[in-house]
Amino acid sequence: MSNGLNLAKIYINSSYGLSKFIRDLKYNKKNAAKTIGLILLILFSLSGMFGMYLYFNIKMYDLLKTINQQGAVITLAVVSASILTLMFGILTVIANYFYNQEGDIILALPIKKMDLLFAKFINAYIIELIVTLVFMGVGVGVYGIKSGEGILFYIVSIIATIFIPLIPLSICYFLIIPLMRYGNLTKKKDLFMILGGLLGVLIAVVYQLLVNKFANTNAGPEELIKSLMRENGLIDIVGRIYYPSIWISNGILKYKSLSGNLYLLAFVLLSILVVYLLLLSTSNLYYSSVIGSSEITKKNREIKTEELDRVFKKRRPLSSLFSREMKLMNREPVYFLNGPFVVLLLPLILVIMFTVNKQSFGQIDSLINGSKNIKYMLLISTGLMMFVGSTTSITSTCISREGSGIYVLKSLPIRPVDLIKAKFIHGAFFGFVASIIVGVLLLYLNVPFYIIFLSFVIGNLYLFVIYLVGIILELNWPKLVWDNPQKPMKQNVNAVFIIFINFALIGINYLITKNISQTILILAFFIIPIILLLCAYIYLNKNIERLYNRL
Amino acid sequence: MITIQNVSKTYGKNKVKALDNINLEVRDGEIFGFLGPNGAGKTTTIKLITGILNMDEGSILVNGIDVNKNPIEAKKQIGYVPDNPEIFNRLTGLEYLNFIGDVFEMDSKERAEKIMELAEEFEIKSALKESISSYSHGMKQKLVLIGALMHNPPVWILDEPMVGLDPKSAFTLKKMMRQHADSGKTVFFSTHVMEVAEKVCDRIGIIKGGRIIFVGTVEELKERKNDESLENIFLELIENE
Repeated sequence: MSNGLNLAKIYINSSYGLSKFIRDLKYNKKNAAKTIGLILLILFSLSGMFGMYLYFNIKMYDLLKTINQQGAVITLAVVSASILTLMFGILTVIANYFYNQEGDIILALPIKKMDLLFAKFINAYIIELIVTLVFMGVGVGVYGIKSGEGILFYIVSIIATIFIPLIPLSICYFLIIPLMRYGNLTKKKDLFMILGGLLGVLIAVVYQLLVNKFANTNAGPEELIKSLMRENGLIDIVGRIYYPSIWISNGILKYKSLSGNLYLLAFVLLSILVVYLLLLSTSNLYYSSVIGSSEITKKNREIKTEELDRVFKKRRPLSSLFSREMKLMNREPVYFLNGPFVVLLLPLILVIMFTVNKQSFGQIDSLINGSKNIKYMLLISTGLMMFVGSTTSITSTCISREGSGIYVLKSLPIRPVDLIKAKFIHGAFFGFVASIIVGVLLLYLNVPFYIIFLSFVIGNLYLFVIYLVGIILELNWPKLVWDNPQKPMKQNVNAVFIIFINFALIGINYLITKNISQTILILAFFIIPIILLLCAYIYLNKNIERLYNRL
Repeated sequence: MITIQNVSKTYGKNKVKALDNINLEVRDGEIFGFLGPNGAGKTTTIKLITGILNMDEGSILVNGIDVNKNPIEAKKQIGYVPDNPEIFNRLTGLEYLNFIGDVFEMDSKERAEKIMELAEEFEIKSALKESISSYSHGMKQKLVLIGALMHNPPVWILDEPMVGLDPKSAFTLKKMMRQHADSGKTVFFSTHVMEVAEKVCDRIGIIKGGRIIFVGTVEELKERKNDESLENIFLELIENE
């Protein structure tokens, strides 16, 4: 297994950049600070969700304490961690197939098939462990503190947590490996990436619906707790289907007794056995599924003489640059799903929420129309357009996405201003689409047309500012060195920063709306983005050549 | 013609000198081979000529146009093949070449003729409608070559252009390089293959540690070193200088 462990170390380093981070800590403090900043930003953006889960657990403990059932807090944590490991596990295993780090070099090395799968398994396990740590951490923390448990409780819980992801992740591999091997699916990377993305969206929508449902019932968390605890509730069902979850709960809760220790031991042994069985039974299959995954079928489509006029058409450089931007973004599933697709997705989630949950629709409706307050209608409509338009991250990742291709562009006689214009138009195009979709949604919510029109203009002015700032950030701090397209898109601090700037602008708008009269407000809503736009434009215009040459 | 005057370039905070006050003139009508061990400064020199990097001091003129002062016009003179042909994988070969045609403002007829002619020569006509991501390394190299040559640039700058090419395509490229130089234009290329340098180049330059240690013909170099093979002389030079 030592080869497997060595390979796992390489995979982990290449996936999570651990040794680079440690090196940065020693030699490049600036880079290390950036990484820490990005992690903090991500944590901050997840803090709302985390806070809600924490609150729910505290509430659940208090409620269940009255009937002496508070142990269910631990059971719920185990069940949640197991289910999420299973769901994220499927995505992780698929993603690991496609960002195949083994390439041909690793496959050509004298490494046993079992070691190859073991290394991949460990690599996927790390991300699942992080998910498990969050869910178990909250459950164990709430239970432990409120029950005044001692250090042994936490030690037992940590041991249990380490082993929780093993069985669900093994199940993922048991499911996916044969699918990849016999379905010959390794060659359908794009299709899988899109399906994976849609699965992610589905999880997000279901999550939103659940949150909405319980946030809007008068009973609050009590209702959710009851539905979780009742016969045939989530805990009961998962407990029956996935019996080991009950072993872990018992192992943690009865940690002082022999039976508890036996439960935990049984769970640990079962987890190791399942992983061993996985490696033993599917290593050959896994190997044959990755062998030949880089094979490409060629279609050989000759260009016919009669096609020449159609396929070779002269276009102006700017239009050619714009078309290149669109193609490169829309054809890379990671870029598409995290970029333009969001413009369709966010309004869709809103529509689903409104349709399924009439109560929340009523609240929004009364918020917008009830007061007949133009100020707030304008604020909400503009804010929605800004929010949806800014989440595409098109301009805030525009240079990073080029990767080493930027040097090819720099060698060509392209005016920097044309390249940047194309990138801006690309962002603004989806900003327009976002505003139109949000506009239609607002029309459906009976918002007056003139408000929608005003919001459209103001929202797009703000979006122009956001797009220009995104480009400025990218020109100054691009992330050009990457080995898979997730990095410039999803691990790009500029993209996260822009979403915060957008929230800040919406926040400023809210403060203005609160404090000034309607007439001045409409004027301010126009003047502020125009001033910001001018500032950003002047800065860019003055520095574009210098920043571009410095890339 | 390429004129490099007193050019220096440093990298990073530690100011590692990649090029140290280099001077070089590549004349019209010649094939100039640029040789040197890994990390000697070949690619840095090429990236400075093509405007990909900024120099710390000095100047570079391409056909009399200053790369720093008038980058767009200078780049219009150049057909460049990078050392790594990884380019816009999500485009098809045809889309890439059309993009290059648009950037160089070639009209439709001219680009159709030139692309078809070069694609025929390099035997990738049937692959042009496919995504670049499906190309082998050699095919990508051929595509980049077509992109560099299709707009008839007077100055060719090729960074290790033979890497990945099959023998027939390498032969075709060498033939085209000769024709280009014979028509009074300039070919500047870097290579590690001594045999190619010896057979193809009119003059060579050898760079080591950011300094040019020899410029002249292969014959001149051999005369200086008692007619040893170019390979031996090269190894000797980079060890001793």
